[in-house]
Amino acid sequence: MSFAAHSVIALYAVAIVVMLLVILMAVARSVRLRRRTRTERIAAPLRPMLIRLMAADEIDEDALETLVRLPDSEWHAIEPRVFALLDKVRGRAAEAIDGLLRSRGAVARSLDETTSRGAVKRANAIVRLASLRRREYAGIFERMLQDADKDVRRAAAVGLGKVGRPESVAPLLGCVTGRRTVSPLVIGDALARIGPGAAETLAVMLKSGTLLQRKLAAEVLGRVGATSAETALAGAARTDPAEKVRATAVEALGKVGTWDAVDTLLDVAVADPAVPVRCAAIMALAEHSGTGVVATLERALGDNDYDIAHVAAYALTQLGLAGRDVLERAAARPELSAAGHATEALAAADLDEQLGRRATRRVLV
Amino acid sequence: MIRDSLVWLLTTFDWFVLIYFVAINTSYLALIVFAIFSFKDHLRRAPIARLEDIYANPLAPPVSVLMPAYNEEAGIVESVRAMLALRYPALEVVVIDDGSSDGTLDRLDEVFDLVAVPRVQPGRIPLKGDVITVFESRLADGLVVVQKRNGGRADALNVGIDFARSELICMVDADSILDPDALLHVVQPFLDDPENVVGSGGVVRVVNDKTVKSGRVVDVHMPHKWLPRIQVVEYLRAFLLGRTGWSRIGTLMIVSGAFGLFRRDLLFELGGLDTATIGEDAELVMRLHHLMRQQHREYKIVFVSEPVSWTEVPDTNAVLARQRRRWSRGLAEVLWKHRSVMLNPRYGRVGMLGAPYYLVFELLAPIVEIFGVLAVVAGLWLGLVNIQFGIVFALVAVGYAVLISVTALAVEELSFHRYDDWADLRIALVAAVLENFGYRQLTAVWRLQGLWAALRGTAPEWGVMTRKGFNTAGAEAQP
Repeated sequence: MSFAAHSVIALYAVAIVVMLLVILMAVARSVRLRRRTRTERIAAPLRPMLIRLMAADEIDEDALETLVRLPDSEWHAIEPRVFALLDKVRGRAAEAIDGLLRSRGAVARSLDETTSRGAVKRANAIVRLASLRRREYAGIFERMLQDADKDVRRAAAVGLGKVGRPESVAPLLGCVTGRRTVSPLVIGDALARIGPGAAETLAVMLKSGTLLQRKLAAEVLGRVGATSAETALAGAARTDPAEKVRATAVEALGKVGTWDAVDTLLDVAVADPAVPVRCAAIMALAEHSGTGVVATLERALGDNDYDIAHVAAYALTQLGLAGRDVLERAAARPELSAAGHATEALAAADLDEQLGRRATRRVLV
Repeated sequence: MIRDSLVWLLTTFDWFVLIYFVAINTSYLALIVFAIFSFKDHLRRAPIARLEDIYANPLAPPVSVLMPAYNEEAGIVESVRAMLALRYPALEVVVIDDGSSDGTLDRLDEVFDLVAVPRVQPGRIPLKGDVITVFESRLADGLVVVQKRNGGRADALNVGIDFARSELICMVDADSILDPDALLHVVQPFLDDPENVVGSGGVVRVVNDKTVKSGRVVDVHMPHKWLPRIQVVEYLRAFLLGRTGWSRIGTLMIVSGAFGLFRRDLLFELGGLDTATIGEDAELVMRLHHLMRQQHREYKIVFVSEPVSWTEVPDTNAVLARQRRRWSRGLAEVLWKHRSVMLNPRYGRVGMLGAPYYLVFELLAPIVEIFGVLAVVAGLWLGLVNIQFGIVFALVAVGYAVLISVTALAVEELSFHRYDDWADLRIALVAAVLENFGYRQLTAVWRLQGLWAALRGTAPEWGVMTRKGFNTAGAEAQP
């Protein structure tokens, strides 16, 4: 066959594929638009019923009954919305919706799907079960933390946070490192939802975990305000080999620390070899007053490092008149590098006060 | 004898063009196939992505959005509104007015009530244009405006990086509008793999003639003019599918300046963007590859196909010509500056696949395209090419190119389907065909001019993109 004949065949082949693609697009669009219209048509009259179910102090039995008796084809169109309601309600309304989902078989179906071969199906099932916030499913979620699929693991971690069982802390932290991991942000949020009950295990992990685990443990301890972990945090702030962990522990100490923590923060603010850790300590000191604190921040304001001086200036704005006095004195001496930082911090504080804003938002991250 | 040599030369060149043409289009097709795998994954998982969890998470890393602006008075207010309206838990917006001679700063002051603040310049990155004043807004919390002397886009971004206070830096164009969830999407890779992800980029789509309300693109349809319509198809094929494909195989070399997210500590380590290069966004990514490879650090630079940055594209030939000359010149400069990467196994796929691809199929493509057309014309004139065969071959060439574009449209239709009207689909299909008659050839000429300018080392042509601003019918007058 000649080259010209090949070209003609190629031309026909290209034209046919293009035509097929155009038809595919048209069909896909038709199906999508039709499906969207159908779902909307079914959901529209049921929406007020769902709102009544969510908003009423007393359970709307009529609405509930209607939803229980809804034909399957219509129920499937609104089932995801019913599950989504569980994120917005608590108490009796949540119980009523839970009951509705059970009577429709949605919960049993979700439990079945946790062993499905499809990862998306498994993840979806976990998301639905998690919205029920039942402790009885914690075991399933903990097992699913080892799932091969990352979305299933993530959904399981979120679920454990929603259930809020302190026993789940260790399995959750186990997912921060290793082969089958979950985003530290997700784990951190789940741990924080568990609350002060997580503090004991987190304090242990702060000493013995991997770098990521220690950092996360410090972060969460600060977020839940775990005063019982103050000693562990102070130890990490002073001696942890990793700069990131020390900085996070210092921040956490600022949030949970009592007066005993101030000594640690003062030491770290002056002596830590890493600038980010010193900055974190200076920021944390802004939560405390006292002459020792003001004097340390005043020294930091004169530091040659931009970050330290800058953070110290903003921290001083948090310390009332004593801090302001230091800043005004520094601003009055333009020959010093501290003057610029002090002027900036004072102007920012004035603007914040004028506009009723939180001053800490300006502090260098 | 001369005729025989000419025949041999033309035949050889024709074969070369034929092979090149098949290879370039097949490579596009391969990238689309890689992209399809990514989209399939992404879309199946979209319902369980739970962006709300990031939005509600106080541990989410803060982001500073940098908007370099030069004479952007037409659209700056809507763009800033869009950035301030982004759904993200910890956000700072830094607009850098790069010595605008129009009313950019005045418009911002009118709407956001700016007040000068005596900020100390950190000076971590060397800058060209002096900073004049730093402003904060009395009305919009988290908005900072830095007024500086003109120094170019890269210099403006460097100022922004210097002043930014967040650990993640998002670079956008001042004429862009991000989708409300765009930051949540583009941050996701950093959250999933905080130790290794160093940069991520989002999709750039065409905003011309779309309605923008309160900083949001609310009415997505095809532009009114054919030039931007063709660019819609081109952006889909090259940016959405092409870059998703590259990202899938871990070889992303360009993160668009219109929407890219980077770690601030690494930007400091790199000394910011290169102010001497036109393609500063691509150059930054290449230096990032260098830095990480040289230090033997594991890293990922990823492209996320969901978040959208809507941007105004040229709607006249003159502006488009300047843009394409600039892009081509930028690519040439970047490839030349980083020539040590080329075919260097130390750089993995970037060195062995990405860099050679960009050289052969992007930078040199206009040369082959233009000389290919000239060779066919010469062949016809000399009677070396059979007219009937010439026509069939030209139709196959156009058909294959149309096939690539239609495949891109089909993938878009099956995945994100942003254009819902049937009319939009018809227009897009026509644009996919029209692109091959005039548009491709003209852009090839402009790209060749850009390459020539790079070779000669003439002064860079920054050009002026005449902004029309956004269609803001019904927009609220609130900041």
